[in-house]
Amino acid sequence: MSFLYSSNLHWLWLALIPVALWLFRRKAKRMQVSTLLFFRSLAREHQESAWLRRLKRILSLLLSLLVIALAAFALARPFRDGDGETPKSLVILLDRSASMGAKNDRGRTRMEEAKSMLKERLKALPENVITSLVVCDAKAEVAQSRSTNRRELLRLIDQTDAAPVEDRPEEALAIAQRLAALDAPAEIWQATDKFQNSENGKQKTVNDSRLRLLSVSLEHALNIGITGFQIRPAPLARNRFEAFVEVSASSANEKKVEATLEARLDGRPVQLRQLELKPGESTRLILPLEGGKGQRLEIETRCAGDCLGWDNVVIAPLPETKPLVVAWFSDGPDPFVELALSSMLAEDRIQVLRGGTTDFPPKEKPDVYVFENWLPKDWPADRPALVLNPPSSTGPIHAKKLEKAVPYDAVRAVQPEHPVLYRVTSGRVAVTQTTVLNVSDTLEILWMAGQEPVLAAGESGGQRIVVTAFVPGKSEQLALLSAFPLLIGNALYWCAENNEALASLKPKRPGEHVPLESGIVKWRAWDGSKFVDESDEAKGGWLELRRIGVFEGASGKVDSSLLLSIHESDIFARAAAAAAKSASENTTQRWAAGGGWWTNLLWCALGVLLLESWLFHRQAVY
Amino acid sequence: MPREELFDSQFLDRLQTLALRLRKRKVLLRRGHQSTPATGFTREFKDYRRYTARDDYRAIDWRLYARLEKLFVRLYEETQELHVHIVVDTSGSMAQPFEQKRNQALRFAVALAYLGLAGQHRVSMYSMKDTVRQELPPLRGQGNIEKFIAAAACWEFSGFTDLEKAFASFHPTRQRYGAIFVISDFFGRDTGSAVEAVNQAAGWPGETHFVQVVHPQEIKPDLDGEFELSDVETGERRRFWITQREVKQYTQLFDAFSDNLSHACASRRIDFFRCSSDEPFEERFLDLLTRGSALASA
Repeated sequence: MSFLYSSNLHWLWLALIPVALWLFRRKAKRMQVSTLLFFRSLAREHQESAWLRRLKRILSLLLSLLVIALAAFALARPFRDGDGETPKSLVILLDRSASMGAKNDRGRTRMEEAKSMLKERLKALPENVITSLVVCDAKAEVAQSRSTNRRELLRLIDQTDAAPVEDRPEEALAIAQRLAALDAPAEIWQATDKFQNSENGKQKTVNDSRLRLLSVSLEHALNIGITGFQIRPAPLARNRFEAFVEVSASSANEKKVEATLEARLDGRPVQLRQLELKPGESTRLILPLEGGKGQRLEIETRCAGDCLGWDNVVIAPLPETKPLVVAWFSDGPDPFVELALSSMLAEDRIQVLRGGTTDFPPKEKPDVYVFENWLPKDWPADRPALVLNPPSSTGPIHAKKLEKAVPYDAVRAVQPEHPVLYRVTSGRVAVTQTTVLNVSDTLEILWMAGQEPVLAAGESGGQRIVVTAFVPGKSEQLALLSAFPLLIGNALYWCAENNEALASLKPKRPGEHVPLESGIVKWRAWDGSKFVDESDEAKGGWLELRRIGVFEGASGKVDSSLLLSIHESDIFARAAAAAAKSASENTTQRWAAGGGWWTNLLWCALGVLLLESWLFHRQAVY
Repeated sequence: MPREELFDSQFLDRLQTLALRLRKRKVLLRRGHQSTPATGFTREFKDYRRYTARDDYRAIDWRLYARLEKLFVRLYEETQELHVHIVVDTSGSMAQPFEQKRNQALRFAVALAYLGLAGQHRVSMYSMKDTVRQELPPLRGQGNIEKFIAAAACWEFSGFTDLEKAFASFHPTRQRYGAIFVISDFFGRDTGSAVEAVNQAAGWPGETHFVQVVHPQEIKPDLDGEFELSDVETGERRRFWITQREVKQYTQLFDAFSDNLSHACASRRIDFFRCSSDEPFEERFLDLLTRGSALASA
């Protein structure tokens, strides 16, 4: 056993006082009285025999000494390190990601549990141990670096709150290890809810530092959350949008849960879906929406007993649709291609720059290249490209024109779920192959006509490419169906998905820094249970997103910040049996570390004092 | 204890002065002589009554017979001498630890004896412990006061009080009208024994006076701290831690004891008089007698 404040053991000399009082105690005065008639009913405890009185006196002295000893020991703060030597330094790695905001049945968040656990353990830590505090979510922040100021450390821990941000603990762990290496031997306490129960309290050795995992995961978790969201204008439709939503259930859920998903436009319900999700299961929905620019879309999932509120809501403004600039270079344009592109022109969705083979390269960079029956010699790798009926091979395109076109009665959709084939009816399509494609490993075949690929899409060197091997004018049924315009529209949008023209359709994530004009930023934020109006200040043209909701910058630019993290929504939980085992392990460990022992000693001293008073002085002390 | 300490040379002079003051106060209060319902052979005519057989024929008023031709006898006033019984508690509690109690009790006893002797009454003096013992035979005449003083000065105050047993053994004569004075602190074996003793005293002939002599420390002890108290009569020892709270409880108990004794005496037509040992004797003695006593009116 060791003492944190061994200097306080000097208070043991106070024990001399009761000993001296006992040795030089005042003897009872002897006095004669006329009668004891009226004294007999007083102070009965003094009427016992002499030996019992002497025994009581000795017992009272011993109890008094025990009170003083217990109080002195308590002030000296005894502890016993069950794991060997005391570290020279300690680095606390505190997770403050979104999942730390998950609440248990009593409404306590994981962050509150982590704070309590850390404070309890820190009580047993010797004062001379150097401490550091690293808080982490998407980034790591060193809140305290190599200090012995324990009060400051406790204050910083107290100030730490969970934020709706996805965590990336690797960077924080690396920083913690660097800090630990400065004052070896060191110990790292990582407080998070991301560990399985079996790992709780375990100790690992990482780069000469002992890493102790402190799990604050829930005993019973029930959570569903929106883990994917995207909104885009519906192809070939005005004022129509499609919202893609992915709802996931935590793998720690004990059984299948029923949930509702409600979509609202400016607070007006427009969609309501009932969902049933098995543990760990995800479901994806596409919600058609009708609305205008500037309207606010809110999608909320509800489930009884949900422990994390931050992932239940997405909120985003309906996007402003910019025209997609398409540079179309053709050697003999097909009328049906022209028809398809012009149909999108009518919706103001696409701006087509038409040119011949000699106009390449264009002066202004388009969003998407469309090459029809022609390919440039110098393949442009800086923009996505839609290649229709390539006559030869260039760059990533490997093709050879057929001398004679080959008609096919039907095509087979190899990947019907691919975005390029969204709403494209493949069953009734008949095509006439005019080019043989040699699809490399980077492109995926979407349509097969017989044994030949006639439609492929994929990325090559970061460039999205869609290639067709047929001519619509020679394909009888294809020209009469809406499949081809849809296919062209899907291909263009898919190619330009990461383009700046469509960038406003993608939400931001908390933890990111977004460029924004300096000034006040107004928020319509979701705090986990309700929407609140808040404001931030963008400094230096950047804003760090720390909330969930819609924000509007000084310039009027509106964007949204959403959690959308399967990592955070998949709440960890402890099994009941394992939780009990964990509790006992925790107790043992805390005892070994001495946490809270001194308070027990103080209570014990107080109890002995009261017992002594009650036993020997209850009739005499007033 | 030397006689001089109790009764110095001036004590008798003070007693004479007391007698005069008492007579003066008696006149002022217009108190009459103590007369008895009996008839006798004094020269004071009282009444007539028809002659009946066995009456003394010498008492027939012949002159009245001559006028009325009926026999009447003359009745004369008969005044009897009082028999004063003075019972003094000589147990240990009357002298220890407060000697003033004994002095005060003996002063009361001697003063009462002097008053009785001066009034030509018969005076008997008794000592009381667990029984009542007659220390002097009935005496009459002022010259016998010295005997009383000498006897009182020789008394030894020790032993314990048993009021019930002592009162049961005390039988004052019924031949003469008596005045009985019991001077004691009335501390018995328990708090109820004094009341029981009062019941026995109710049967005594004549008027009875209980004079309780106590010390101020017995009324409200000045104690604070731990004490080993020993009873002077029984030798019993007890240890107590006494605080103001205990003192308050003690005072309440003592007052309740005195009140019970006073009420018990009042219900039995017994005069109860409490006197503290530190109070001036003369004033308290006059107070005792002016409350109403045959001795004072004789």
